[in-house]
Amino acid sequence: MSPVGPVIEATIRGKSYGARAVLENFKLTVAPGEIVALLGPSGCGKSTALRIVAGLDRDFDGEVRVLGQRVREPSSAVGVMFQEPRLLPWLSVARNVAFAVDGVEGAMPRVEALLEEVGLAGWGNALPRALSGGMEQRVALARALFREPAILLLDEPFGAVDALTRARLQSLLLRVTARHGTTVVLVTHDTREAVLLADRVVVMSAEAARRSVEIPVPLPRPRERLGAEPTVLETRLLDALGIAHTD
Amino acid sequence: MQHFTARPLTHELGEDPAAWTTEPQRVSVPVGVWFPLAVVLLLEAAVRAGWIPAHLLPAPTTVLSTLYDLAASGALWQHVAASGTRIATGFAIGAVAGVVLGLATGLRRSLEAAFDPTFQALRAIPSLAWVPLLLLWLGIDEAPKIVLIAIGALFPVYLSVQSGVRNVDRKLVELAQAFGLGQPAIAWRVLLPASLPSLFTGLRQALSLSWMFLVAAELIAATRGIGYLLTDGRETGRADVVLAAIVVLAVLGKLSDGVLKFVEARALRWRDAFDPGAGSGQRT
Repeated sequence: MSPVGPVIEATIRGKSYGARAVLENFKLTVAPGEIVALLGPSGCGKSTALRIVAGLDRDFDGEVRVLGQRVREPSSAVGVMFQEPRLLPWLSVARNVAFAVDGVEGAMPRVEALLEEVGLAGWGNALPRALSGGMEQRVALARALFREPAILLLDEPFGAVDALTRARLQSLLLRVTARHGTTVVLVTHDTREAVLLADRVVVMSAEAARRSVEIPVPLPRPRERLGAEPTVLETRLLDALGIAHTD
Repeated sequence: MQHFTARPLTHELGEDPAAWTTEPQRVSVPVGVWFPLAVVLLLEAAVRAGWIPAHLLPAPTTVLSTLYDLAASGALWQHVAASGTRIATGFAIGAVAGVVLGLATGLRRSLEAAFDPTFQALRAIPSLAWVPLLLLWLGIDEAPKIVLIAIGALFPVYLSVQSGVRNVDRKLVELAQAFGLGQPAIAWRVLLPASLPSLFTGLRQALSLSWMFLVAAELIAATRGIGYLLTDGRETGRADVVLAAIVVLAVLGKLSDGVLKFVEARALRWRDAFDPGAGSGQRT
């Protein structure tokens, strides 16, 4: 643990939708600057856990602290990015990036710097419909970073783009978060993505009662996409998911 | 690093926008004109030849010259101004009320539960049933006509705004919540703009209903207006005046809808919907 203490301390004793329990005794502690991946199959509650940490879901039993403060509502210290870009189609790219503030005028230098950073310099006046899926996700990333959040929560952010675009966006994410020292919690169902991005992987099971398993990823950065070590780690992740061996 | 040139855009636009449309645009306008033109010419010939009695169906040229006389004498413009003012006032009142009520019931389930059944019941009343009551209450001046038009315009706008708000993507609302926006900001910055397409559909319906209600009101009790012109033509046995008034109504209806359509196209430029006539330069 880092000397300043964890930036996220989540204890979710229980969360259910109706009669179905999605999370039970789920604990997550994240140190500053750490990149943690929540890995698991659909329905394992990983997105729910992320929404609870984001302050978007308050209907659960437990406690979440972000930067030592108890989470009661979404905080400006937390940036969120979803699987879909969720750009507002009637706003220009620049206004989407500056969505946190009403009106883009005073924020223009910051917006331009962010667009430059995500490789979309000069696209500020475009409407979202002119963008490709990968470009839209870049805008969504810039928007998530707009308030300079200490923490970035990503819910399968690259799940809906093609493999090539995904690889580029993954590199972009690592570059940008490393530069800003942003702590990242990333929900994914892609073992390759988890090994590539995360310092630590929390493997969640489809059964709420089963405890999650934490697997560190002690690989140096920048990481290779191929090679023996990533493959070994991926096998460990698949094993933890219970799908390493096919019969 | 990805390179962003104009390539992805030009690729999406395609080299030839016409290749995307099933109907060739330039041809469709003349094609639509041939049929009415042929009917008009046939009528003209039939009336002149004496096959159709001219006092029942005057020749198109007679209608045109009547229209010209009405315009030259200034009477036409008085009628148009009277009707136009009633439409504008009634439509504006009805539309604003519809937006307010639609937003209120769209945003709050409790308000919907309390008021929507009443509105639905009122909506079911045929508009003309209001006329005797409005005349009793408000006399035969401008007020009953404007109120009738407002009633006509209210319900389509109310329904479209309400359903527009209800159909906004829940994910956009969640995004706004993640950015810490409160209820009023979400309504103003997400729900309202997102329901604009639906609002415009309702406004255009409301406008065409407004014209219908205007004529109904003017047919019954008026001394000016295009509806009055219709009554006057019938009472004096002037089929040419009646037809001239109908032509004026058609032109004004089309014109006012065109204005609304233009405003809609401007306000909804951001939409990424299917448009068979979309040309290049629409994007970005």
